[in-house]
Amino acid sequence: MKPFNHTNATSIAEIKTALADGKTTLIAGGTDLLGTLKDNILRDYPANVINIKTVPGLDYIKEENGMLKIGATTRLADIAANETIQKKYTALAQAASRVASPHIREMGTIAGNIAQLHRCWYLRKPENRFDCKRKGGSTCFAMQGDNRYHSILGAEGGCLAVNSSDTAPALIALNAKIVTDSRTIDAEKFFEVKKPGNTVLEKDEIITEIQIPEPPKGAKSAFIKFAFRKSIDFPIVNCAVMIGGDNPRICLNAVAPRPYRAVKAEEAIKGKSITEENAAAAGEAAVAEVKSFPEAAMFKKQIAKTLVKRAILSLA
Amino acid sequence: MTNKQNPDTQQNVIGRSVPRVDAPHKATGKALYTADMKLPGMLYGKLLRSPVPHARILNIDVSKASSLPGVKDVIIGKDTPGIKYGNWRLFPQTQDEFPLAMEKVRFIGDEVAAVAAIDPDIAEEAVGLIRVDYEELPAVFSVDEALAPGAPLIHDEIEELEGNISIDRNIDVGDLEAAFARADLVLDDTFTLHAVSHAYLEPCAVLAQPDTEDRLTLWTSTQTPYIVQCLLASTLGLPENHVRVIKPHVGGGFGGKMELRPWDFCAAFMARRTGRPVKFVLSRTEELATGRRRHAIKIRSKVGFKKDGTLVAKDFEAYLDGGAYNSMGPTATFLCGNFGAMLYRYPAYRYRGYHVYTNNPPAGAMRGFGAPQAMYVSETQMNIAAKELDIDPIDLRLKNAMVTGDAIEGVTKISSAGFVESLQKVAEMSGWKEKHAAMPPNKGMGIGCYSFISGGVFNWFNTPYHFSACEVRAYDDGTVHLLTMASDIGQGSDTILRQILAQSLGISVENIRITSADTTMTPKADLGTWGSRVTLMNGNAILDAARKIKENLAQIVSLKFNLNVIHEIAFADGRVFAKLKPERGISFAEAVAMWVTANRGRELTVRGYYTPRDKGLTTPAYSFGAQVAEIAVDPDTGIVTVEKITTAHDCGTVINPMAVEGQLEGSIQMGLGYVLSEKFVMRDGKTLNTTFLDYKIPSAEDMPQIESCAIETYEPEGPYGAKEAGEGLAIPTAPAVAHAVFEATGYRCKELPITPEKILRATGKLME
Ligand SMILES: Cc1cc2nc3c(=O)[nH]c(=O)nc-3n(C[C@H](O)[C@H](O)[C@H](O)COP(=O)(O)OP(=O)(O)OC[C@H]3O[C@@H](n4cnc5c(N)ncnc54)[C@H](O)[C@@H]3O)c2cc1C
Repeated sequence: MKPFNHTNATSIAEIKTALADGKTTLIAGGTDLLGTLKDNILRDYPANVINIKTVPGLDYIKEENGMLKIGATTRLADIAANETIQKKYTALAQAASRVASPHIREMGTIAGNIAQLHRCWYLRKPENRFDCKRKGGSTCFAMQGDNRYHSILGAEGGCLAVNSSDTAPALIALNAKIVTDSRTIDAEKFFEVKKPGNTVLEKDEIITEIQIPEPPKGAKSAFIKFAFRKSIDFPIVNCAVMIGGDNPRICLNAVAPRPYRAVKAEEAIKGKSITEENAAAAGEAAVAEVKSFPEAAMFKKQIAKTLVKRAILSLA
Repeated sequence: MTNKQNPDTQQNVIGRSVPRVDAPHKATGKALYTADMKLPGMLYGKLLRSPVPHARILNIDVSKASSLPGVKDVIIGKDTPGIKYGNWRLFPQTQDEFPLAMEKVRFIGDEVAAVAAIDPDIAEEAVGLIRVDYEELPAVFSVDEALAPGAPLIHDEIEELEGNISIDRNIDVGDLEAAFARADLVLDDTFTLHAVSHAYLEPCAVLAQPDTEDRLTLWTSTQTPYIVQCLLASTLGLPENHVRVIKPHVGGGFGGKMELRPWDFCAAFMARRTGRPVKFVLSRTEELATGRRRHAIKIRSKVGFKKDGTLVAKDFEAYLDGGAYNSMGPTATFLCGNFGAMLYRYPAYRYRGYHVYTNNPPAGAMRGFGAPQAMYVSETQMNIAAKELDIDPIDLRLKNAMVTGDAIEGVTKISSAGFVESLQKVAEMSGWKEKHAAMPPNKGMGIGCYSFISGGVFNWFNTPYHFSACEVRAYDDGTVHLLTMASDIGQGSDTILRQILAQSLGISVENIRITSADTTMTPKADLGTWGSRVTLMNGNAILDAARKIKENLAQIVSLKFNLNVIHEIAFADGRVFAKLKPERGISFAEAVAMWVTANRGRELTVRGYYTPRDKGLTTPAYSFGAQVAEIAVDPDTGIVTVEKITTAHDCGTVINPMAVEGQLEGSIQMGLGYVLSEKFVMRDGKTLNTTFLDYKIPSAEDMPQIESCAIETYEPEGPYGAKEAGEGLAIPTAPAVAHAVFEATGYRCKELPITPEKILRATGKLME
């Protein structure tokens, strides 16, 4: 790893000022960021790293004004173990509990989890071997190369890498909002990037809180994940659903460059009872838009529709 | 693990789960590995590796790197003596590697230059400043491409070679044609077995220190200090004994650390040039992208049975993808053929094995050395045949199983075999008959078996010394010092060897100090930790030494008590005494003290040796075993959950049940990775998955329930009847799981690994 200056921040304002120079990166748990630095996968190497974990008052889970509020630096392990979240915002607790391994959940924060960089073996090849589209280059190597774990819903800005966050689909299904130092963004909109990058965050914008409205009466949520290993493994596909209220919400991740809200599946299950048949129909609807790349897509498509079906059935 | 209890276990060190002597230090983080070591003035080394799979080197410009402040040395092939090396010294034309590339590079990762600098970051920066001009050559990435007419010659500099086959091996037993003519069922299948990584937890590391008299000390993460010593000396042009190799704690090897490697050479060479210690530590990415691996092998196997299940013949043809260099490939080529003929009686057997150069990263030795591949094929074909012939798979095996005294003509003889008992026991423990007949949907039960060598006899390294040696020093305080070159790389030999010595001298393990794996301080030689050889071979050397100690002490006790010549002298409980009159005896310490006095101050020091003689050219002894896997397949995702693994195995006398259990658990983990999840994703010779996130070894949570039973036989050639328990156990899991997957899904895997995608495709779930 190349040297950089490390500062423990004491306020959001301090971080904001530091980030303005364009040579500084924010670090939370560091479980994603340090890997990218150690492997030197990016074009630019930060001169400074500023630590948000030392900012007081950002590590909390509380219910207030009819919503759940989670501070940006709250660790995934605490979210997974929180009884209120387990009971009322179940998909999020389940998602947090399936991230990586116990050690990483003790370090990794919720904000870091949704702001993490995409997973793609070209993008992440050490020493910036593939200067690809997502880094601002001209080629997506996965287009010609081995793309078995890539997007099955087409590219975004010419890039096929997938967003692999486990908590993102749960937050979208739960209709969460991401609060930053300057605005409040719908979780779904948070990933609608128009430029290289992972989120709509400006370079000096800082997530401070996650807000989740109390689920509608009768609504329940669930998250399931398919990975090759039982632990320390990114999702091949994951899925979160919330149903029981008026409008079901279903979100898949790792199938596209951003979390994929399966609107057709939501429509398919809306107002219907949870039966094997209806759940399967929703599963089919969820993958109706799956595109091209036959070999890899066929497999992930099968997994995606199975997960949608099972997530719905788990709430019967 | 059940274990035959010995009535006088009080005194028995053999058969007891003596805790590993290195365990407390490892568990508390105190154990020093090479990467932990620091010396004053130490420099940090980094390698420049080829980014292209096959090219001629036109020019190398190191000027920018050399002038970077903090850089103390930069070397390329031309700076070195340019002496080739390789483990197969017996056949010099197989020694095909230079420490740094000379004219050509042959795979992505081939070492081209090395830098030593005052810190690792500077070294890395300097590596990035070296400019190499390559003239790219056509490259081949599979055996088929390498053998195609007009394929580029990867080692055009070796005159003896005409194509890319570097070595071949034939075995012919019996009249094959006639035997096949008698067969009622002939299976003819082609299998594609893939390469996998050793994935040892400690990446390779070395630290070299020069001394004032032109000598060198090397601490290196190796399984074979003696081999590193000899080959390093020859590549440096030094006398062998100017090089001292010490093996610190090693975090696993599994066959991947049994050669001289370029960083060993570069550390030593630059240490001598700069007069400063030089250290290299490889990264996980380097290990996965360029490290040794298990051979990918394409095997065509034709096997004939009579209607009643009797085997009549087998025709076995193997093409090993050796990658760019021979490494230990010749051994894998030989053993693959030997193992193809193991486990069952084949009245006629033919083997044709070819080791083929390609531009992939070189394959080397890896746990099982050709056996996991050969036996995946044999075992899968046994299961296919059982189905075709409508015979229970275990019954079919029992009908053909090797027993004590069997031989493969011209290859080997079986001096002890508990195979039949293993099959019977595993059937009983797993409830095979009832369960297998009535599996619920999407569940399966399968069987796989193995046999493995307890060390090799064929002297490919061409050592003039004994295969194993030790020195034992007995002191007047009752303690003993055991000195041996045998290398504990995590498998536990420092503990096991002490148990063997403690048992034979009748003293406690705690009273034995051990110095191991230091080429200067221990007697020559020991070929190293590979081929599951250490317990048997070094154990025998220790018994030889112990016998000599005991002869000396028996004289003393006989003299002191004026014992009749017919008395047997016993060694137990820290005493030396007349067996039938235990009161006539003294403590071990006293006996040694008296011996020293009687010898006017001489130390009681002896040497013990072992070389397998008159044991054929393969091995002195074979282990055997049978394993049953129970699995569930998720029909919609294709994911396989391994629920239970039951094993019955014959490793001769179990010296340390806990250590054997550890080997078994590790083997199952490795076997599961081989069959289900591990695979290098290669693209034009480039490895894409170079982290443990993308290269998927099973995690602790993926481990099944494990049950096992040791079938104890007594191996006449083994110390206290022991034979191997290290590598063989890594073999049966793959065929057992594959069989279970077939039973659950109807998918018969002939191309490893078994992925969810392959299962879904085979079961028609991926139809559009
Ligand atoms: C071995 C391994 C396995 C993993 N497995 C999984 C998995 O299964 N599922 C999964 O979802 N993830 C996984 N991860 C990814 C990741 O490490 C975790 O998701 C973790 O939650 C990231 O949080 P962190 O606090 O460590 O983020 P950091 O590494 O500190 O930061 C990640 C990014 O987020 C930015 N960031 C962090 N906080 C803020 C903030 N408040 N405002 C603005 N930007 C911010 C950082 O600048 C950085 O760009 C894995 C990582 C590893 C190393």
